[in-house]
Amino acid sequence: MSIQSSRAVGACLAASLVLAFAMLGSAAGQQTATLVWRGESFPIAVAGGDFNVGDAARALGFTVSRDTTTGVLSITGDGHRLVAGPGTSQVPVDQRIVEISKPMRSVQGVLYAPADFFERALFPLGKATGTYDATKRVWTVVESRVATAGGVPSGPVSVDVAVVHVAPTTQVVMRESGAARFEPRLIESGLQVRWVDRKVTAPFAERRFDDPLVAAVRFEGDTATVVFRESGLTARAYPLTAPDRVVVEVGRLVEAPPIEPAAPPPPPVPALTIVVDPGHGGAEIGAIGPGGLQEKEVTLQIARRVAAAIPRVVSSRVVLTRDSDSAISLDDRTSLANHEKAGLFLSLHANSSRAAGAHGSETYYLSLESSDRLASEAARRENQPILGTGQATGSATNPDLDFILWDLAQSAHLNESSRLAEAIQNKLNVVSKTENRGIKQAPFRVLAGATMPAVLVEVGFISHPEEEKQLRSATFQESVADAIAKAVGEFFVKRPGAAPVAGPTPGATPSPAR
Amino acid sequence: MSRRAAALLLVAMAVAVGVLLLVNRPSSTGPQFRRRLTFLRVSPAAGPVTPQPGSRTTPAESVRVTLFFADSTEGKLHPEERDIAKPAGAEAYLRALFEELSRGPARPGLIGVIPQRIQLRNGFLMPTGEVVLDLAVDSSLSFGSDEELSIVAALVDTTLQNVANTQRVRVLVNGEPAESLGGHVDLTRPLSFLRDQLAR
Repeated sequence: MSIQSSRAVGACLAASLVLAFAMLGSAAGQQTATLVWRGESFPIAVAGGDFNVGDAARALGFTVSRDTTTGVLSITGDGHRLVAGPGTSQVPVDQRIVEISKPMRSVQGVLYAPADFFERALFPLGKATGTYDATKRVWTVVESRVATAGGVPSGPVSVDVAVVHVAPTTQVVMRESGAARFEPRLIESGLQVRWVDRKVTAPFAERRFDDPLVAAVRFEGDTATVVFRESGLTARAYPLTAPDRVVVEVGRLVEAPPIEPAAPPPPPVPALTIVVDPGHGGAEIGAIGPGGLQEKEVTLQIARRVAAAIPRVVSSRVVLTRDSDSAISLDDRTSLANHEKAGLFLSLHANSSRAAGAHGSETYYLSLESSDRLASEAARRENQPILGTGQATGSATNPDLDFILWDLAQSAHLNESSRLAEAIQNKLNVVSKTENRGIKQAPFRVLAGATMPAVLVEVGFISHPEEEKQLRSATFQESVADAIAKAVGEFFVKRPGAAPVAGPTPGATPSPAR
Repeated sequence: MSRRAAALLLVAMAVAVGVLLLVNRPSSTGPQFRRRLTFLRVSPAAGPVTPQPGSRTTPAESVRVTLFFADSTEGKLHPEERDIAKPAGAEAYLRALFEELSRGPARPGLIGVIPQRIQLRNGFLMPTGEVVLDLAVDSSLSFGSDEELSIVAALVDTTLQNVANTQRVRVLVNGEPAESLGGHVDLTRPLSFLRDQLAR
């Protein structure tokens, strides 16, 4: 064989191999592209015309973290953050939302996105632009020439204040319109928070609170003072983000008990936290029955029983959003659950209707029907070139963006919320023998903030004279608590892909508060 | 034809068109009805309406609206149609819808869901197509979930059913954004049609 013919055969073989690999790749729906960045080449997996998001982000030097439950990627670097999740075409980038041509998708647990995700969201995040050569399957990414302006917002930060008592402590939450540095100082009559790098727009000069530990909050200049109701109290202040806020936690000084030489070791703290939310409270009474029974009373009584019943079925720590007749905003209820990293959020209510015949129990989980459309509209509105100035626009959080970020997280929990709602309805039907009105969806505010499976249980109609009588009775309340606890146990036993936290734990007591 | 003759012909035609327009202009409606109310979702009248003695309402001046009321047993919402006097503008139309909802149903077996102590302060149709309903809500009112869902759904669904080219209703309470009416339905975002509350 001549050299030419050998070369020809070699070329044919090589071409066949390339073709075979290409066909193999196509058959699996996966190929590889190359991303060229700062003189280096990086392989980027391709599936069905979409590109591997994680591969590209890491190639550009970003830090990539993945939420194993939702499959959502958080991509951070150089003070910027992008969140990408399967099933959505909206991409939160810092404080903006970028709309891409089609939803991202998960292939065998790996996130893939269309080309415009990279052009419009990822590359600008790294102050770069990129073009894709489909023939060569090469992304060429170069640094953008757009001038950037760094720095942090320096305008005044506005603050609003909420006071939440969760026995034995009170939390004063000072929500800020943007990040700001503060210095706490404990004085005899309270705790002072002084903002040091930004001016503060105070919501009021002084507001008094009907709280067992906090008498008032005062603003003077750039300093807020949380005034103690009595002497002998102590407090600490710490910052939280998303949204930016300062939390002042006020509590009583506890004297250390004398050390007993033969004290048994403390029981291990259960890994699972469940937040139980007695609906309404304080001035917000909720519904009132024909016999005068108030919804806020019933929900607290049942919630206490639920808090006692659940640890008998599931090894868990139960936290109540309120353990007294106090007013708490709907958002603060789920903020507490999120802060506690709760595994479940159960909001307890008693129903009321103008329809005289309405009776029975029903369990709600969140309806996203209207919200999805709104998020999409928000994205379109916000879908403008990003990072033109190299920084997030505005210091305040973008509520639409917050929503989309939440939506990414929450949509993963909707199936579980539905399962939990069904388990609760079934048990209420059997154990409490209430008429089963089924599971329903509604845009309830108290469910909207939860980043975990969350349901709202309407245990009965307080507006129905017979059910009002039932709701008053300890026997019925106990049966409801028993039904809910058993449903929670069943939920964890049947939870796919997760080890159940089931198993009786005699002696376990609820932890109604931190 | 000379240029002069052509110019004369053009002037004559313009005068003729002007005279025709003047002769055929609408004569009886007031100034408020001169502009077409594009926001009305007008259904054709079911049949000829017999003018009542002394009544100035004619079929041309009424509009058919669909209102949602609860059934008296389970509280699900049912539609009820009625003809109302054609309102003069968007705000008047929103107010008329609210008043009809507050007035309650005509059909036996249905009940109104809007309490007396909820009133409409203002209703706006925004250029974006969003309707804003600003409610005056007595602070002593309290609701259960079902009751609150019915109120919000009746307001939102009635508005969206009757006001054309709008998909969202934002509800304000006493002039301000609110978390909810009574601790349940999320009012921090504009709402679209609440289908789950409708009877199937």
